[in-house]
Amino acid sequence: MPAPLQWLLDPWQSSIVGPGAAVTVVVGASAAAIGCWVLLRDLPYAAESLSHGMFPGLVAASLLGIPIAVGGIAGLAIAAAAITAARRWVSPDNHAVAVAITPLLGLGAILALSGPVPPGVGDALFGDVLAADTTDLLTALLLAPVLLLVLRTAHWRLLASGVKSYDSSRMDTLVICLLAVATAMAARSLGALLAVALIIGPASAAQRMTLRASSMLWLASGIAALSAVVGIEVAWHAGVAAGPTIAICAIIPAAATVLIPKQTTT
Amino acid sequence: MEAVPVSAASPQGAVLVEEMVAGYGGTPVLTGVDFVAAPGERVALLGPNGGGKTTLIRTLQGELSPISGTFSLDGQMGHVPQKSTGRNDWPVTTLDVAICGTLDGLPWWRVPGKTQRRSARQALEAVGLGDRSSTPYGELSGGQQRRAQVAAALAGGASILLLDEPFAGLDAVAADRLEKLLATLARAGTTILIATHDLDQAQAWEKVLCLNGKQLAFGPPESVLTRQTLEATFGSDLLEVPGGGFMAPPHHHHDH
Repeated sequence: MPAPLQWLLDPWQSSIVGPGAAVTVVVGASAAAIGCWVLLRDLPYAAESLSHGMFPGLVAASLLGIPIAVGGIAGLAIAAAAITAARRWVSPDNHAVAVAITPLLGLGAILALSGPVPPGVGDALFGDVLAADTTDLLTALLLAPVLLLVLRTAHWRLLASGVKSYDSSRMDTLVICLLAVATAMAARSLGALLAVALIIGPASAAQRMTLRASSMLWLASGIAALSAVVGIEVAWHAGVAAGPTIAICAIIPAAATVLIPKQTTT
Repeated sequence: MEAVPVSAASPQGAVLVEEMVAGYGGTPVLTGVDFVAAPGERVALLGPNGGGKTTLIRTLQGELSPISGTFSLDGQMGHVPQKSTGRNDWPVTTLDVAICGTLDGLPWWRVPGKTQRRSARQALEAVGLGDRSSTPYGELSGGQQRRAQVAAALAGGASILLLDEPFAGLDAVAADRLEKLLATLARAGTTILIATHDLDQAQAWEKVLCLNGKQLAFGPPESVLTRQTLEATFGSDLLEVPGGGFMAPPHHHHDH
């Protein structure tokens, strides 16, 4: 085998890389598809804030001795509900998100600072790609198709929401709920804070490259999957953490597309 | 452009409004609305900004419940908004927009299939946009976007069209083309309610409904478009033009 190819395949011969890489590819591809609608519906601030909103759930789970994932999902559900509720009474939307999320973040900080830093919180916030196992992979393989099926079913209604004020509020709620699930899934690999990169980065790049919704979704999913593979490759050879490296790889295409003109019409 | 519109197969639309009071949160904005629009009639909704045109449109659309009184629609209603979306980069083609018009007739779990695509294509042909189906919606001119919205309503089976200031911002050629399209649809039996400020156009339509917080007049243009009624509708804003005609004040978008 040629040396360069051998060099490239090195990481993939390790038994600890496979499950983590597979989980990140599957989760990244579906999360990026949802990310497209997050951008189109102008909800990136909600996406960024949602991961902060899960913080008290993570800390509470750690303090109570229950699985961190359960706390994270509960935290996300509360954050998603809080954002959805706040958007009914507070406008503009960004103010509503701030009103909903800031108290949750504060609550998490109070809990975390009330004693020693709870174990597991660091991984929950920043992830651990290589810690993924077969159960994580099976969970991703079960949840990702469900997410994509919901997106497929809602696709035309989401499109219509931008053509006329078709169920605008309901479509935003749907996107926020899907976003919460995607964040919970991506948090296992990248952590709650870095998961946003995989959700928003590829979608942002895809949005600049096409004017067709279906093309945008496919492109974003492809970029996210590629970011996961390239990120693991780079992290392996550079000897750095895989999660942050994947997050950076997911953002680079968006940064690069700034150099090309955005696909806009007159 | 002159192709048979999609709604021609079931041109039974009619609007019946009886003693209706409409408004927001129980506060009346519009009172005493009482009229009948027969199939194939074009009805001009005339009134000043804040006079209640949009309130009437939102009520007939079902967005607002009448505070009192009733209305009934004998047919499917299609709404053509004044402005569809502020974003020209929304990732849809003209055909996509027409397909979106079919969603109201589908349960939430169904995605548009061949039947809906066929209806959408027929509707685009009917409005003269058959050759622009794959064009990004944002690349259409204002007049073409308005016609694409009409196509969306027709694709959804609308036999009653509700247009909110459809001629606002259009140049003379685009306005003329839209005017001819509406005439063709009306001849095919579609009932068309049009919020407008253009008294000349209203003169050419079958009925005129004057609103200013209440219904001031309804009937054929020759009996409604009098100095007395127009002054009651537009007040001191009404402009008299040389030759004896009148001109409504310029439009400014208003939520009521």
